[in-house]
Amino acid sequence: MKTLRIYLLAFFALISVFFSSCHKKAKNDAPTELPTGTVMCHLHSFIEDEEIDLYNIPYTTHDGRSISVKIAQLYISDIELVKLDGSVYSVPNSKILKKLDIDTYFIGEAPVGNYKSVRFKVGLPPASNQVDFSNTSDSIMWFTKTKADDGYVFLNLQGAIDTSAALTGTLTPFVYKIGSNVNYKQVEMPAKGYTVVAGEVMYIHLIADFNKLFNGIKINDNANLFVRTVADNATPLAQKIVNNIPSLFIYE
Amino acid sequence: MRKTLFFAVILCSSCKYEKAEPLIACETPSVVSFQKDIQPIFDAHCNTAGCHSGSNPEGNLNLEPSQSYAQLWKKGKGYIDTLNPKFSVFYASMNSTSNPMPPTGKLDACTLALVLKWIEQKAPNN
Repeated sequence: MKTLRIYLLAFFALISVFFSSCHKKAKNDAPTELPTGTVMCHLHSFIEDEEIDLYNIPYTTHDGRSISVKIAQLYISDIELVKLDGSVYSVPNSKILKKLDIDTYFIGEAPVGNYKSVRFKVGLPPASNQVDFSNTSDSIMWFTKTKADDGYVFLNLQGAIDTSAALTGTLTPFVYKIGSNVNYKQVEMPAKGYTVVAGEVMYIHLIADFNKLFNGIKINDNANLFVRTVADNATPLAQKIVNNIPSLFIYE
Repeated sequence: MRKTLFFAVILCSSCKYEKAEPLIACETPSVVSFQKDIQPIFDAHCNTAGCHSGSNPEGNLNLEPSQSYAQLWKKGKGYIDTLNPKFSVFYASMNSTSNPMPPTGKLDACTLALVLKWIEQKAPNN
């Protein structure tokens, strides 16, 4: 009888082990490889509270200064998502050229999970910062029409601004063509919290307030209204403008 | 013998099966109406004072009845993408897990399904 009990116990133990291995996955369980979601950017162009919907019409700042915009474009690249633990996911080949008439941009696929913020650079990495003659559509983002290293304009803001102390509304032209490898500027957005969900689209909503570029610039000095060449980009004026770039971006 | 059987039953009870969460069945109309189905969502959750209303609406997007349809179709803004409906800013923002619109909390799955269906039907002004 004792032997029979031992056999029975052994038998049921084997049955149990067999069935315990049948932990069947539910249909919506995550697959073993890390799934991804799509990361997009929704980027508006503003002058303070006013969205730049059209070129060449005046927008007014809080202090009553009028600004009209003829061109407002910039490159964003090297986009990274910062995880909760501080580690970083670099979105491969991430690069966008922000144009006025397009607000939505595909950034890339990212692993599912929770991220605390986003960071990116304004401009192009040195390896890409060479004028590509096969893509003539970007020519307003070149410093010259001839092949050149360091040839891309990273940020091109052109228009006219009221430079008078009395804010008379008389507009004076300006050209800010910011570029060159030394001005490849990092932007770190504050913590916000993003969740990438498998198969879903996640937008990062940003506003680029181009008025911020004028912070600390004495615009009543005509010499401070023009940065047009790579050489101009080595001046203290250009440095001030470049240092204003991170403040350009706020969450929508 | 009884003890043996009892022990065997305990051992076998370790085998389990997880059920998938059942999908919620939503009854959406065969043709989604902007006026009857979509605008009421805006009226209930979006175009209250200080949000998507007035002369300086959030995100420069006014969702009041007189303006909402045209605003959603503003060129280049991406609120509606009928080729890739899930990429529509309008839908993706409402469907966001971390930062949903409205900010007070993600709306129920059936409302989101209604919005997506309307975009899939080419987002008509009906």
